[in-house]
Amino acid sequence: MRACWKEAKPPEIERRIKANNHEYNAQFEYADNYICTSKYNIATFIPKNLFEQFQRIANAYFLCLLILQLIPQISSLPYYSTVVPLVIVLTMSATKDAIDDVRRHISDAQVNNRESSVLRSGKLVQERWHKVIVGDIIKMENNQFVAADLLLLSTSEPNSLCYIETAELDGETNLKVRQALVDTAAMGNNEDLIGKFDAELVCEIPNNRLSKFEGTMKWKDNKYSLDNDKLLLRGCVLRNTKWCYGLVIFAGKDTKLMMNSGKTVFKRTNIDRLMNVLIIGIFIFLLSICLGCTIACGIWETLLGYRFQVYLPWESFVPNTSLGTKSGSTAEGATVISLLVFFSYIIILNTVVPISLYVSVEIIRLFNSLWINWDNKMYYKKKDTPARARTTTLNEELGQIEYIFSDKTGTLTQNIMEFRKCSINGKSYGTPIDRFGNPIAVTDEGPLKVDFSENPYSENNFEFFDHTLQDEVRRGNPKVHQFFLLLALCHTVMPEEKEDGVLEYQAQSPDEGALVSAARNFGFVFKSRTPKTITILIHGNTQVYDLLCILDFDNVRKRMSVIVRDPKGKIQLLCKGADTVINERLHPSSADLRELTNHHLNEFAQEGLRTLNLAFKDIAEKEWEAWQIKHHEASISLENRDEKLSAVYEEIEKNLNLIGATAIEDKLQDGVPETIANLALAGIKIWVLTGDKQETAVNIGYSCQLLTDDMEEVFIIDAEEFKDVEIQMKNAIKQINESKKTMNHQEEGVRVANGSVTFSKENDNVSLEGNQDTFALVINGHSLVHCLMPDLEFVLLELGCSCKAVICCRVTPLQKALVVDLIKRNKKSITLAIGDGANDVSMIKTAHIGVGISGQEGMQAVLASDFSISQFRYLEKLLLVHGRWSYLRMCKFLKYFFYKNFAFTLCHFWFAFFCGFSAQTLFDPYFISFYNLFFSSLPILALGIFDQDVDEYYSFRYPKLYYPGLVNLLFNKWVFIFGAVEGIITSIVLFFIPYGAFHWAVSPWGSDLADQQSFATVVSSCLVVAVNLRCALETAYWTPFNHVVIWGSIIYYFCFFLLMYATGVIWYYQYIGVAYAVFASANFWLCLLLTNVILILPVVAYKFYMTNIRTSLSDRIRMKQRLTKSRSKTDLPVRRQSTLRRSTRSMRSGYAFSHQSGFGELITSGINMRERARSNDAKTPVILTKVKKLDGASGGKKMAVSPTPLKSNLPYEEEMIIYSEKL
Amino acid sequence: MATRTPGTPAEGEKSTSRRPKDTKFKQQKLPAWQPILTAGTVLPAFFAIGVAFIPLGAVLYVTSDNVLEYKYDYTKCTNSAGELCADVIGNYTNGTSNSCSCSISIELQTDFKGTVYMYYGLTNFYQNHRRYVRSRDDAQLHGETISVSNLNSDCEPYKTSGDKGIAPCGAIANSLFNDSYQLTYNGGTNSTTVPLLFTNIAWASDREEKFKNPSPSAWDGLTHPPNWKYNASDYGGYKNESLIVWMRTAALPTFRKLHSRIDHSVSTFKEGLPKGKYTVDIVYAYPVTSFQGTKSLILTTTSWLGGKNPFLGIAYLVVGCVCILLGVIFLIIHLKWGR
Repeated sequence: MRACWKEAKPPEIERRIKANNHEYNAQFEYADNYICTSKYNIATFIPKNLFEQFQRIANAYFLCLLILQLIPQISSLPYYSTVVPLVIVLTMSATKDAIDDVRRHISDAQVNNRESSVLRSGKLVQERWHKVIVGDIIKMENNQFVAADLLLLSTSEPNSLCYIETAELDGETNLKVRQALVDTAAMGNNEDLIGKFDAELVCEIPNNRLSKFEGTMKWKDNKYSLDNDKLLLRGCVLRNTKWCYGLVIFAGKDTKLMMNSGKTVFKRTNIDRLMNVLIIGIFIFLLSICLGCTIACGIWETLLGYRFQVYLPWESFVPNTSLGTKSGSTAEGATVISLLVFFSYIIILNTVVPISLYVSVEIIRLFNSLWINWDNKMYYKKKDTPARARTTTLNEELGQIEYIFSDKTGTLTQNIMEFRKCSINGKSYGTPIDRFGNPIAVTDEGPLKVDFSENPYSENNFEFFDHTLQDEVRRGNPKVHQFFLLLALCHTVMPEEKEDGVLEYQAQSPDEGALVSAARNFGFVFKSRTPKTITILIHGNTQVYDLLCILDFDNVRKRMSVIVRDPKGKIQLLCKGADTVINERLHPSSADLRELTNHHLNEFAQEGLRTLNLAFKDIAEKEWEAWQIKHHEASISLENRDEKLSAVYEEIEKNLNLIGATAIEDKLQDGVPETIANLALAGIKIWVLTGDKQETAVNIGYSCQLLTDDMEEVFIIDAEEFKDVEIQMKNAIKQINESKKTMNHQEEGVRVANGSVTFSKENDNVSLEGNQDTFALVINGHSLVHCLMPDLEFVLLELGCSCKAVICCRVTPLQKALVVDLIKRNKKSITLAIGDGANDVSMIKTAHIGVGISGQEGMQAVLASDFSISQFRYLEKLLLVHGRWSYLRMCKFLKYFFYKNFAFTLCHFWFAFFCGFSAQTLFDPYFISFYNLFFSSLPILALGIFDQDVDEYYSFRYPKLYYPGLVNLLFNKWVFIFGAVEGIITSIVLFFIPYGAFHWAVSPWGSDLADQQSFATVVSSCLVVAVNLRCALETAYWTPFNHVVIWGSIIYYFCFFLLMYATGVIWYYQYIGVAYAVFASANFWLCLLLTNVILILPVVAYKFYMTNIRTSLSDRIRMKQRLTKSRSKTDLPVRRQSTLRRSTRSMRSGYAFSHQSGFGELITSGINMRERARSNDAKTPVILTKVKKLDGASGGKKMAVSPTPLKSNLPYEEEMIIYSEKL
Repeated sequence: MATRTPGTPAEGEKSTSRRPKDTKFKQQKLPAWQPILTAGTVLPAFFAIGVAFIPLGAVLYVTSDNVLEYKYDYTKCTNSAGELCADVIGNYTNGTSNSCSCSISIELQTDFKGTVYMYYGLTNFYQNHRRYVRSRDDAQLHGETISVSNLNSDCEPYKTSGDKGIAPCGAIANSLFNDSYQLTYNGGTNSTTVPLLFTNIAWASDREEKFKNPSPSAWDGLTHPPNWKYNASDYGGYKNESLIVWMRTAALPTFRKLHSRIDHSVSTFKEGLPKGKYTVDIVYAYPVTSFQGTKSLILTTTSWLGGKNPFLGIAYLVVGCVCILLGVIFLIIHLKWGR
């Protein structure tokens, strides 16, 4: 065991390291590579944990009470009445902390004991990770985790490259390239040379910026500047690289990985916050009651107590006692006594804030999280991932969500593109038809998918249902051949042949991958590429095309072309691109075909497919040569290179011949439209925040029912300038307001006609914000920049909130967070953010509740999230069922808990009027310490764990049931006050009915029964029965557990005190024999019955009135549920299917590329195309997987570093830093 | 294990499915009773409670009404010289010279049939005051031998007297009610003293378990409470039932305690107390007027419910009526507006 903390050392200003020089480095006392995330060890656990626990206000409060109780002059309760519950509570928390910490110890030990090869005095030795220190040189091998932050010295790969996967750091699974300095790389694998490497480094101090590093290295009189390109960070995995050497710069807690972790924002639920306010309120209430008692006590002591000294002299320290030990006036004496009584009353009335409240809340939340973890219906079989509640403290807030902010790619969609349809030379393929030429719907029964098994390179998961296309291919239709040839040649996909011979493609955009793999399945297999050639396999025949030029994709061009020379020597330009772009550049001869193809494109787009046009052009040798020269000039020019290149491309991409069009489905996840529709019915507003282009986002919006054709208007905000954005938004608001006016008139008319005033109560409130059903808003990222400025954010808020759906496209991660924050700050609503990628982390962390999609590539979003589910559609169950139930349970629990403690505690207050405000307790101290723990908390815990008003099926079927949570209906300060008042009234009944019945009570054989202990037993029995029956009335769902705990608590109470008060259990305990005497009297049972009838009757009456006359939706559905159940269990109605596709829709062109510039440059430059020959010597061939060129901003494919002139084009981390400062 | 080759399962990953178990418990599908408050259950319940409570209340009321009780407040009782006894005795109960005798005449209007009990009642007497309640040593009363220093400190200032411990210690014992009564029946030809029994007036559990006498030698180091005239051991020690009754502190400042039972073995009183005139000779020793307290003497019979207390009967009648009323109101509401 090693201590996890060390004394603070002076802050570093810069870091100086000498390689392989431990003595030099030791003077700076840099952190070593020992990782310690645990908080305690065996020796420190108890003091440290206790210290932490007493920092919680509740615990500290009870500690103070305990200290008060130890003062005999004040103590109105024996110390054990507080000690027992406090010790139990502390032990439970401590146990939980201990278990957590043991887990951390285990994982720390596992990480610290990983081994790596370290160069020590010129020799490689295996060393455990925690013994690695700054200045060491480590040798890494393929697929190893990087042990610390390293400066790359040399690698096995050409150009001293090495590839790393950074999934643990930023969640991106694409490989990144790191390159060592040429001079250090020269050392190669030579251990002697590396052992003598003695460079001196000066670099930045440890920080958490993953994408930045600054430093200089001095070696052999040369000075080198170091940047992030030469750094391997802890947590990365070395891939595709046989070995590499690195110098440790930051170790252990100084590494960027560790600097980035552990800053999780502590989230609290609304109810938590409300609870804290309430507790302060209760405390003030308590203080004022105590103050009242103090004053009353002063008066009593002056008028009566002073004279009663005949029998009860004042204590000796009080002035003017009858014993004459201290002089002073009566008033002084009474004042001293009454001041002490203040504290005494605080002690006995403290139970209005029960110790067990927090623990009970924790237990209920824990179970409600377990229900989520255990839910079979949120288990995704394909990925073997169940849902996970990663934090156990936010459950009930799931039942109060008003805004959902969703990512698109990977969240709503599967991020899988599927080749669905195509149009070739004016003929549309892809819709399966029957013998009579009528289209057939694709279902499980049929039609059969096309059989591609004769093609060895076909993929099993490729589905195509139209057999005619394959027939055409077989028949050798030249146009069809040309179509697929183009798909196989015109792209920037990287092929990869796995060890077992399986060919896999690494595509930069999934659209491209889908097209190339479609060609592959139809027998046009893209096999391999070199910088200058493309090898394809056409029906088994290998053909090598010379790749002359790639005219790469960019956002403005919206197309890409390749120029190839076929094996016969003919030069062709093959182009694919957005229909608008291609159509402009077609040769006039294609006009007819264009019409036909456009017609097909319309059809495709109506189905929500993403379309591309394909075209080609033959190029004469001379024309090529002339153009090549221009191209070369443009590509080497230093100024305006991009514009010049575009111009050159433009020159050759004209007079194209149209071949056809492709249609790709951006596959939605299962059940997304239904889920969104149902969530919308529940009153939840869904905002989609995506990095995608506007067209794509809108398309998806339609296909997942977020946007519908019956919407009155979809506002699009896409202006670049502040002024224009403002105008666009204000116009939209104006339009909404106008239509609102007209709508209101109509609505009133409808309501009068229906005449169902009570019925429409909930229904109305949902549409409080006007007729939001009819508007939607689409905002572009570049407009959003202006919208989020302080001047416009309220306009955005107003506009966004009056629209049913909002789509923000082209947004950066920071903007996502800002939008969430905007709503969070200005609306009292609860927000939920859901996403799957690293770009969603900021919004997931910002929102009240973050949900991560698990089972995807990368864990970043999940790690930052509070709940993880594997499919978007599970959100429905998470919110409408688990969230709603949790909220319901928590509300019932809190209301009841305060009620029960008011009822209990205030009995003391009424008793005060009869005992001279002397702070005498009404109840037996043992009863006081056990009341919350044993006699009243289990039933409400069971309710908090098991209760459900309507079952899962009806929760889905009637999403409106969610509404009460959304508007905070079930627990707010009024509900609390209502509960507290009920408790107060209960305590009055509990005190005064026994008072009436036992005033001068005697037993039938004469002995008096009006003594204090009997009276206490009567009241406490009535109390226990009453609160448990009250809990029974709240319980809507009586599982066997509820029966056991409710009836059990009552029976247990009677048995417990019969036994405890039996003779001989506790010697000369005052209460001996009381239980027997009381329970034996008829008076007692009559009083018990009377008290409980009086207490329960009004509640039943009220509840009956509410269910029978002012029926809530939940009650109605409960009735319905009961009727259905009694009728037949199998006769449940089938859940309606919402219609997925719209019948008519205007054409929306989708453009099937992601908006980043492509791989083109990388391919032609050949920088990371390794010739196979060079890896021949490798025993285990290192396989090239997808490689993405590293750019300054560590933007991944989803980072959406907008190409538009965004003012804040900062790298992601920096953005976040600014953002957090802003917050 | 630092490396992880693709394809092989990572450390800790289990080959088994992570699918949650499909049990009724885990899927929250436990069989459950889901009661709903419908008119069909609530309205009959209201009527049933009403129908049950009204006769029950009537029975309770009649029972209580049949209990005979006679109460006489003798706080302002005067001695033969016509002085107020309260003034004579002053504030202290321990001086023999200060005791005062007074005699009161009472008349029972009816025969008190059955067992008759005699109580003393006090008002404004705070036996339930926090410091008063605690001012006792249960171990001492249980007969344990306790050294003076180990006596419960709550007994202060009645813990020690000089170097001797007080037995029993504390304010409760010190304030033991010490008026005594002699009841004489003046009916018929002769006056007959009504014999009183001072046994079995305390709770059986108190008599047998809670209060025990220490070994006789243990009394040596102990003295009586300041207000007492005699040592406890002279009058049965802690087994003195009047003391035991007194030590069971009352819940409310107005209370009555069983003073004695009428001995019904004497032929005149076999059937109870016959109606007619009685004289009570009181040794008035217990001061209460200084704190506006009162003292009274109560003679009562008991029923199966105990003493006279019409509260339960009336309460049951009221609740029963309210139930029926509520039932009717809800029936109307339900028929008119209910669903």
